[in-house]
Amino acid sequence: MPERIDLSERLFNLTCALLTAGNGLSKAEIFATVQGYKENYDPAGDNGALNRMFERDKVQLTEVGVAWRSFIPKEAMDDNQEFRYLIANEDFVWPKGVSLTAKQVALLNLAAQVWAKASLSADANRALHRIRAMGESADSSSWIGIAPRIRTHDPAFLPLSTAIETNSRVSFDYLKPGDLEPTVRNLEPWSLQNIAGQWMLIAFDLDRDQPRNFLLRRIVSDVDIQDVSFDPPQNGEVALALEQLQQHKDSQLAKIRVKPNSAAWFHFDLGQSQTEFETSFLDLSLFAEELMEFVDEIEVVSPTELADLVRANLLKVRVAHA
Amino acid sequence: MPKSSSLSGTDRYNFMLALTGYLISNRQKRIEDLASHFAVTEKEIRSAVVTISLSGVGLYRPDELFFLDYDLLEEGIIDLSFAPTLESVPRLSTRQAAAIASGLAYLAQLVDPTDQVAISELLSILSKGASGQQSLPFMVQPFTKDADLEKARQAVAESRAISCSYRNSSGEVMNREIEPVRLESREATWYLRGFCRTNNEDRIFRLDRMREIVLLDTFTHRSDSSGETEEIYEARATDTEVLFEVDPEAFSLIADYKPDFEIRGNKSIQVKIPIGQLENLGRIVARYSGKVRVLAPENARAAVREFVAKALGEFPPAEEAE
Repeated sequence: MPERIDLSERLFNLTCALLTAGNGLSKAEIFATVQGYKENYDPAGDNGALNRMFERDKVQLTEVGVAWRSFIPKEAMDDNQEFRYLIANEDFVWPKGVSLTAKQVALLNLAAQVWAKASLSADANRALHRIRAMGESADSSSWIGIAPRIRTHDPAFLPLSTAIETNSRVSFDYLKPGDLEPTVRNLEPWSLQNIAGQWMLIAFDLDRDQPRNFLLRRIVSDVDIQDVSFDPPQNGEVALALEQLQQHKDSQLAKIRVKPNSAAWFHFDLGQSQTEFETSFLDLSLFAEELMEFVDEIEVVSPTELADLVRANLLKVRVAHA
Repeated sequence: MPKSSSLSGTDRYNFMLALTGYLISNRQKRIEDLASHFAVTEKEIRSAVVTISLSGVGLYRPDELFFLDYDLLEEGIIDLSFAPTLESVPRLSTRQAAAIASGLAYLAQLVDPTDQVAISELLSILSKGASGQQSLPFMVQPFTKDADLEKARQAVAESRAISCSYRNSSGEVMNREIEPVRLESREATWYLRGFCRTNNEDRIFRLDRMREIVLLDTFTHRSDSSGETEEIYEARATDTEVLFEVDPEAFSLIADYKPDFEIRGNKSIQVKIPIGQLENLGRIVARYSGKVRVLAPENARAAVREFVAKALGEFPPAEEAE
């Protein structure tokens, strides 16, 4: 029984091999020379287990951001079409001339801590190891006692991020507010955006033939990542979608009356003698939900749809507790 | 800086890549300094370095690719030299870069103009440092700046007490003096942990329940008053155990009250959460418009029904009833 090589060691050996091989390595060469493979290599066998291991390892490298290339050498085009693999140095290293100050490293540290315990903390910590490898130590003195946190409790977040990274089509069931049954959406996912604490997916809706926005928490099924790729959005398309969201928000105004000294009065930061305020909102249902916490202390003056929705929400709470 | 948990699999692989990049330009480092720089244990440094030094591929024998000075290692000093490969620090994966960039964008609401410039510079470095030409899969849109948040941040940074008008969860408004220890957040909601001089106890305060924050004298930190807890809501013996049924769209409720509760799948979950004051339960539940249901005990369900009735204006509030 050959000695078992740990996953991290095999990946490290594979990376070194692909970085140092100027002309790339064929799969057979990798299996014959790289520690973690060569112990189990049988030049005469079909090496099915090694092939599967190599496929998994390639995915792992991509996931941690080590970009490998594969190509068929020109001279082999005609006969034996065997792929060769390599990691190009320019794909691997930081661009030349990037250096960080101690203050910048401190900011980057704090930025990584924003994800503490959330599903992105592993990626954030790996990024920190690479950032620290650039050499500078953090000057965290001005950030002591600050612990900002964002969470990603939406189960759809990581699958959607993966689909965006690989330009893969997705589908999922989406429950629009007011609908009783979810509908299936077929999309080309473009970007995930956190707007005022809510995660939103900007995607091209293939059935409606235009970009649409989806709140992650209204996704009610697993995200099905399909084996169909698409061309990523043009430069500026995501920015345009975001701008349209902002314009949409600016165009929707609500007027709310608030009891003085109430939690709502504190929350919305009203002036000393102020009892009404106007605000714009992005999504009627979302804003109604934000108001629900203060529902006994406020009155929606306008628009009527908002007032109706707040009342309907209250009735739902009543029915659920009858 | 918290020590990361023990490294394995792709995390360890990632760390070895980063450490290799670092050691190329940093010869003869003490193990304890490396451990503190990377926020890992000395054992992990030692084990990673030995693994790296034993890696050999293709044309190189192990001792030709990396040279580890074992005599110096005995003295606790790492000296690793290299064949001409792995010349530098690996760049970030798109997901790593997106995690850090999103964290930075979230921090923007906290920082002064100088740091704001630093954040913009870092965002541009990150977009260059990510693999390939891909745009980042996710991002956080800037949050609105808030004057109270800036004052709270300044108070924590300068160890200055504050006075403010505070409305507690029972609705009492009073003036308080607080020695702030830690400023924390959950997305859009900010909390200030500190010692309340008025009530003579450690407390956690919601920033959106504060008004008229005034910075006072500097204070000396009490010996480890609030510790390093992540819990926002601390259970007390007098709490009522309330059984909730929570739909996926409302999972943030669980994340708020039970950060360690593992949420899986996209089906409704039943969960017990200790609640301090049942009169606040209606407010908590109303926010989710029927997507959170109180199942037991019966007096908790009654508290929700009463809240709804009051909010619908079906009977006058108690103080006006006489």
